Amino acid sequence: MSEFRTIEFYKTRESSSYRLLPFRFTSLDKDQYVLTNMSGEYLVSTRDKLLDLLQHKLSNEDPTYVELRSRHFLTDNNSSIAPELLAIKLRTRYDRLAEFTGLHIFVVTLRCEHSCSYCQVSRQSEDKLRYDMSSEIAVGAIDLALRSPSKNIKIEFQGGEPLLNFELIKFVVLEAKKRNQRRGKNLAFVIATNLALINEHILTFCGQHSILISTSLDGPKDLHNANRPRPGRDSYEKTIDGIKFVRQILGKDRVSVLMTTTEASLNRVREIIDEYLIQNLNGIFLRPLSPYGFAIKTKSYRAYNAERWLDFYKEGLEYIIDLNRQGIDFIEYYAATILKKMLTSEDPGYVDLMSPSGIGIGAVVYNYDGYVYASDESRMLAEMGEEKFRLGNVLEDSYEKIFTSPNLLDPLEESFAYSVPMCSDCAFEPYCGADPVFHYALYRDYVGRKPESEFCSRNMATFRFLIKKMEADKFIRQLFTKWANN
Amino acid sequence: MLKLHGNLPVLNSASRDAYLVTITTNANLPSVLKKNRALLMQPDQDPKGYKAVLTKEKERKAVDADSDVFQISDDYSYLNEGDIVRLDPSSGSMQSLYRKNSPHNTILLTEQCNHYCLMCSQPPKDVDDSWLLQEAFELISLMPTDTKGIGFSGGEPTLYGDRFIDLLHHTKRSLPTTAIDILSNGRAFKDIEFAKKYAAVEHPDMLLGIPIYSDDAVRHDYVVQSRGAFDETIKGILNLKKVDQKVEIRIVIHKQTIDRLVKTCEFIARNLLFVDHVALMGLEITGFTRPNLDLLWIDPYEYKDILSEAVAVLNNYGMNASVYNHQLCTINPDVLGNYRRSISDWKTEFLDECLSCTKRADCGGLFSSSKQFRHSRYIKAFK
Amino acid sequence: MAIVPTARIDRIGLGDKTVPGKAAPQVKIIKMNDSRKESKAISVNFDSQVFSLMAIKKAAYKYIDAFAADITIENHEIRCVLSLTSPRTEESSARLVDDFKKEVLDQDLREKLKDETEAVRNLVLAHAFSKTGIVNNERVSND
Repeated sequence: MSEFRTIEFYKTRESSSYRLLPFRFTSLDKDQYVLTNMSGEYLVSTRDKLLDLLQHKLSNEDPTYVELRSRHFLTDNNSSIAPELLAIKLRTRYDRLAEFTGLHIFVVTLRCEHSCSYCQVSRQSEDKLRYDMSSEIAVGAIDLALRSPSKNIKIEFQGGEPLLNFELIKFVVLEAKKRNQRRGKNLAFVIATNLALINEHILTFCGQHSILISTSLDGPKDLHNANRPRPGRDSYEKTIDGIKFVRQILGKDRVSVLMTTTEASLNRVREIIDEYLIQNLNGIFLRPLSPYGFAIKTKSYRAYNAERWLDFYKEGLEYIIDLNRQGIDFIEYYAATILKKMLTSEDPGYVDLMSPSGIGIGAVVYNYDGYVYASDESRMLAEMGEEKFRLGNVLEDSYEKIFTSPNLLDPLEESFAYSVPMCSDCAFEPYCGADPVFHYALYRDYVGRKPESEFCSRNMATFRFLIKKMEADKFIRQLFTKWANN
Repeated sequence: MLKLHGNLPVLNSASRDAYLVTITTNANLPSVLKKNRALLMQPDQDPKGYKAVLTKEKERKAVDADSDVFQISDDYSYLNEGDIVRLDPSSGSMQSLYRKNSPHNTILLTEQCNHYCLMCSQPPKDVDDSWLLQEAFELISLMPTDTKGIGFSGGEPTLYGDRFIDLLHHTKRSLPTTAIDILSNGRAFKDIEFAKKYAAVEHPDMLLGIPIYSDDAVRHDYVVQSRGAFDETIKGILNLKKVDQKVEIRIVIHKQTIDRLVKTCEFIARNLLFVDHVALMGLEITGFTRPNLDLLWIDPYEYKDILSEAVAVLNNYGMNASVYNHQLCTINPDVLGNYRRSISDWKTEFLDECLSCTKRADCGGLFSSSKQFRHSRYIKAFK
Repeated sequence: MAIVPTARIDRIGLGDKTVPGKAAPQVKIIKMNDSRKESKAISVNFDSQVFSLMAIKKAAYKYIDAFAADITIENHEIRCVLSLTSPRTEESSARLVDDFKKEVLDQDLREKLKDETEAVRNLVLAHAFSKTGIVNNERVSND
């Protein structure tokens, strides 16, 4: 039996012989930095260690050295497999890009009987039929949607209140399935509705074609009804009854519930979460508010800013973590989306946090009038008179013309975070997104100045918050890992 | 623990060299079949015409001068119809190579190895033992086609290079539906051409079990006592996946691997998510483990929380993970979903304490070497 | 803006970690009045043989919401005159200047890191977007 060697034999002799791999660093707090490697994995380090690392002074006896090597921030003579592993992880991350547009939003009508203050749809009152999508336009939109290279196509019906034009929804579902027969894509359908008009006939059709229902619940009754004025002032009751009805006929997993944050929500996050618990929902998406449509017109965007939303969000997330500690499985979906980017190589496909931007690439909107927009928000801007992100018309323009429109390509290129000042150096870039529409709406250019951008400050604060939570508490780290793989 | 190998008194030797032979308890086989069977003889049976006879009787009685007769003791009472053994009439050596009733038939292909693991259960010998490979070809030809699965181990089987691939082809032809589990350090597959040859076997159910002992390359290299092992093993795994082959990662838990166990699982989840299975394994107190016991021993009960954390990482990332070689009283309930009774049947033991345990039927028990030399201090019957 | 220089030149190291061989930037705070919040112009100079102009510009960009920077070069000095966008106490200004200097060093190091790792970055990207691989359908064919 020959002698066994100690671990010292397997280490390199000099510490300065390590080679740095590409990474970015940004401060986490006063003393610490977040480092992210090429595939978006993070590591927290003190400033001192970071400086040592960068100046090739870090000793290979230092425990951080081992972390840095195994997490692909440096290579040395003991291991240089990192570049190959990084390449695989990177490629996995960007896989989704090649699929191109997966989400196709059909605005089947602008009519709606609610008048929500934040609504990104400028509501037209019920009797104006010229705000409905025609079947001719619908067919054009279906053909464009099926042209997408993506294997999975999700058609989401929005409005106004899309059920006011249910006949067209039926038409689109049947026609899309027919035209898909020779294409063989996986088609999925969703109706985003306030549920006030739901009935058995509609649900039967949904059941036959596996159509999902998406609806909004903003919180407890008074909050929800205050956000969503409706003749009869019973939006909440209609929503709750609607959810029960859909579950009864189609099943619990067939209805998803979203929350919209308004100024009125900001002090009531626990109540909102409690409402979701009462309604037997297994998670909530604590969404940031976007500054579009009525929101800007009625100044309800200015009424709150990144700071206040952050307080709202942090309190909500802490509360949800506590619920989980007590054994209640309840997930916060915004965190889960970001955590998927932090802890896996998967892309959650969340349009607002994609770089290159999700406009056009992730989602596209076919408006009732036939105009095609790069995103929901792009359409909003057009309603407000700014047609910057209008890509074409389904009746007049080909697929190629629409998806190579400068109105799409310019903002995509110019806002690509990897190339934008400050973003290109930012350690959080793998988790963040480019939002050219947001920045154009507020700052009149696709990029804005990040130090002044609410989008940037809100996102950075959120990333820092999530990282600090995970680093400090094992339970939270495990919980977050579960959410990231949700 | 079953005695799989021993030297038996030879009551008559008709042949000179060692050979493989299938055991039968049937004394009335057609004469053509008798010629390549070993009869496990009962007192009133006529053993005439068999290639070999295994008898409990001390004298040879009415046997053919053409049979090799061996005297067996009760130690070998496990032998049964259909088992295959190697008999050596000159030395009396008998080795059980295949047991029909066992789910754990593993064929040792070589004791040569390019690693020297601190806890190696089959310490390497630098001798030319390629006769083991030759014998494997023959053994496989003798195995019944309804065999569910076999294992190939060593040493390092891939040291045979192309001849190892030949063995795989042969196994596929002889046993078309039998699953193959191969234990290897994976380094040979860093050569994509070798990986392609392996893939070209196109076997319906073949798995490579490859150890990775740490996310820290230095620590892994230390445990296997070979510089550069980590990088080459990872490269091998990546190549195997490029050619669509099934890979399992095995981690043996002991004092040199426990500190980074959770981080190792995170590393696997972030970098090797595409592997088919991860096995977290308890330590067997045999081979090199015994001289290195001070370096390696940690009571599993003391690391059970770390084990839970590691398993949680793999589960949360949706990977297939199993916990092998642990006793139910030394683990937390949260890993029960991943717990398997994995110790090979021939070396499974229980302690006296276990006799009254209500969960004994569900427990994998201990390695016989653990029972003998070192096991958890916390083994305690469930009431 | 009328500025009465009332003198205060600080020689401040870069946090606690002075980078060997590199000179500490010099900071001159020109202020009108000690006690209250005032709009100030703060002058911070950097040795141009130590720090690149790009590093300073990038750092200044990061603080664009806190101050506007006038940047000039004279001899071997990069001179920044920072005009605060809103009034600050002296303590707050001092912290801001400290953060700015740290950021300059960070940007400088980022540049060096980028240069050092350019080759391997390109290698990884080339590998990531090449045809062969183990992601999705890009299997190596067995022929």
